Amino acid sequence: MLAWHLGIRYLRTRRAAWLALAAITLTVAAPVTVIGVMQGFLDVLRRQARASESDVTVYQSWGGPGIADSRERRQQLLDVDGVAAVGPFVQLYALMTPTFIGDQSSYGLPCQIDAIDWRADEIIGRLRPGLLHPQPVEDLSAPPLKPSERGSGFLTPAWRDELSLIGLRLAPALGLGPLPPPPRQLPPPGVVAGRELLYGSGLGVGERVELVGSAHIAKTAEISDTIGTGILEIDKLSLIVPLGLGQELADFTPTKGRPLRVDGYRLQARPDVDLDKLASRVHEISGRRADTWLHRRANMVKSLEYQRNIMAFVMLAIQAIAVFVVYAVFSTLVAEKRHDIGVLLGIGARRRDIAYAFLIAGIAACGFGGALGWGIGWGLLAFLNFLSKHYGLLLFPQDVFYSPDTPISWDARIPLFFIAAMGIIGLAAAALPAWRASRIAPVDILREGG
Amino acid sequence: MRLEVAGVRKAYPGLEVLRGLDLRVDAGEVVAIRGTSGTGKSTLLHCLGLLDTPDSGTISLDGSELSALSPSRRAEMRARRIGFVFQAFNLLPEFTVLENVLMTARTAGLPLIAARGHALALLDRVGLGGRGWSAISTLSGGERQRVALCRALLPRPALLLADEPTGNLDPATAAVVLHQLLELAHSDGSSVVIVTHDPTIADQAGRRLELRDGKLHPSA
Repeated sequence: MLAWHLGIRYLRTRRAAWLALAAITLTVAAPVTVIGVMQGFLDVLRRQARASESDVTVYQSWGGPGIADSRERRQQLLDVDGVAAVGPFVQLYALMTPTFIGDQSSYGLPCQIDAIDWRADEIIGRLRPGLLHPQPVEDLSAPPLKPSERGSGFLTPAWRDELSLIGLRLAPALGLGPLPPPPRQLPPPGVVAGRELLYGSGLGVGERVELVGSAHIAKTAEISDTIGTGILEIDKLSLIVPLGLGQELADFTPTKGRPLRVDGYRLQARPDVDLDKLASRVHEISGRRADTWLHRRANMVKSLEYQRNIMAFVMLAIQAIAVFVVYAVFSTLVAEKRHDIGVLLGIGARRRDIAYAFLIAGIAACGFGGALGWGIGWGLLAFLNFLSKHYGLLLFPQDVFYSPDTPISWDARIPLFFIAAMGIIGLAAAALPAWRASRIAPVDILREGG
Repeated sequence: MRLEVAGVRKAYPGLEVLRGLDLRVDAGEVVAIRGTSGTGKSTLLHCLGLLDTPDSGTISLDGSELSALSPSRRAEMRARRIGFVFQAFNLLPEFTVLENVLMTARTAGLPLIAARGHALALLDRVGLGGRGWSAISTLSGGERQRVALCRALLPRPALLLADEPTGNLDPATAAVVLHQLLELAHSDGSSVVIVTHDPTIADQAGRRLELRDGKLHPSA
């Protein structure tokens, strides 16, 4: 009680204490801002990586003979404890050539084909609607779409065809009588191209292309949409195609006694399942290699995590400099209040009350300064985006970073971490002055007089 | 309360100040100790108030030996049973009048609500009613010493030690403050030991002693 009373009063009334408060505020505001943005980038990168990866991927070695695909194999994977959904895939490199080019040999865009079962992938949630444009982007030099303008609306020609067939099947049930099948020419399969893949090629949505895979099999397809994950290596190379088309291009169709094959399966885990343990279980049961999304994208995510951690360490080092400010301020405070401390000890204050008073003042300065720094840090982050939104200030080049906003993490654990660190630093800095204050001999002070 | 001091010795390098000093103060008794400068009056008071430790001898309160107490127990005794009034007032300038008075309640761990009422009553009795929220810097010397007196008496100490309590005051103010000190101490039943070199103060004490050659002698 006495310690609180003294500590808070000394903090409030001494101007030197405000200097410590300012140092604490700044050394919390700076890391909150910097790490808030770095964590924001990391969160975006994680989301982007998750857009191209499932929780766990089961696959064969690159260029291998493939895994025989069957309902039983999919069910075997689905039965593994912790697996919620399974989606097969085929991956291969291919050359993409527009059909309107006469001499096709001189125009081939290298691309990495990701052949998927659309429905299975939709269940997995890997290709979220948010990644696909609701309207095909005809003008690829147009500015990026706002996140709110992205969404559903992804319909490949193959899907449109299937929907029309469903309509024909529904007609008798609705009493419309059997409808004659409409005369139609089967469109080529629709494919979704990475945004950057089309960006410099002159190709656009609705164009037809010829794909030649590593098995030297050529197939025609129609670009039905674009996808933008934000990761250049994906957006510049990816071509997402229906599973059947991928199997044809990879020569994975059943021929010469070989079964229908795939390169692997993407698995969606149930919530709160440890992905590393799930990958181990899947590996044991399937006998195939099984990796988590983080393992497969570790180079990208981990490198940014390391950068963030290094920056956090630098910020902690900057915070540590505040030790000297806090120490100097509290040493001055103890020297200034030496007489008062002696009087207090003389009238019965316990030494630990005196020490606690300065420790409490240190913690209170760190708590209040930290909270102020938190507010300033987040205010600054919000102000950055305000400038960007209302005054068109582009903080990052849009051909590198799609969103006009600064990616910001509003995770409260970041400021709380730095406030806690500041609290420990402040406590350490105030400890020696506090100890010195508690060792003052009251009899010496009282002999000195007032 | 009965204070007993037996054979107390205290020396500083090259100087023995107290040389086997004996003293007994009964409950409610007022004792004045006189002496010239440097005779050891303040040293004696600091030993009695457990601020300093004698080199030898015993100090006991109601039969309990105090010299051997741990530092925290000595602090507790100072907070609860011993009041101090200093020549230089020794108030805390960052706190108001009332907060200064309540400081001994805080050190003694008394319930603050009850102590606050007692503090206001004490201030009222010394003529400082309504000044509880004043800053110390706005008070005169006499007012400051009265605040210090209220602070010392708030926990109702068994023993009040006053070191030249009127040394910094003019004679008229000194008389008023001394009167209030004795009156308040008497109403609480506190024993009082006043160290002074002012004969007019000593005259108002029940017993007068003189500190000479490290020992106490009856004074005329």
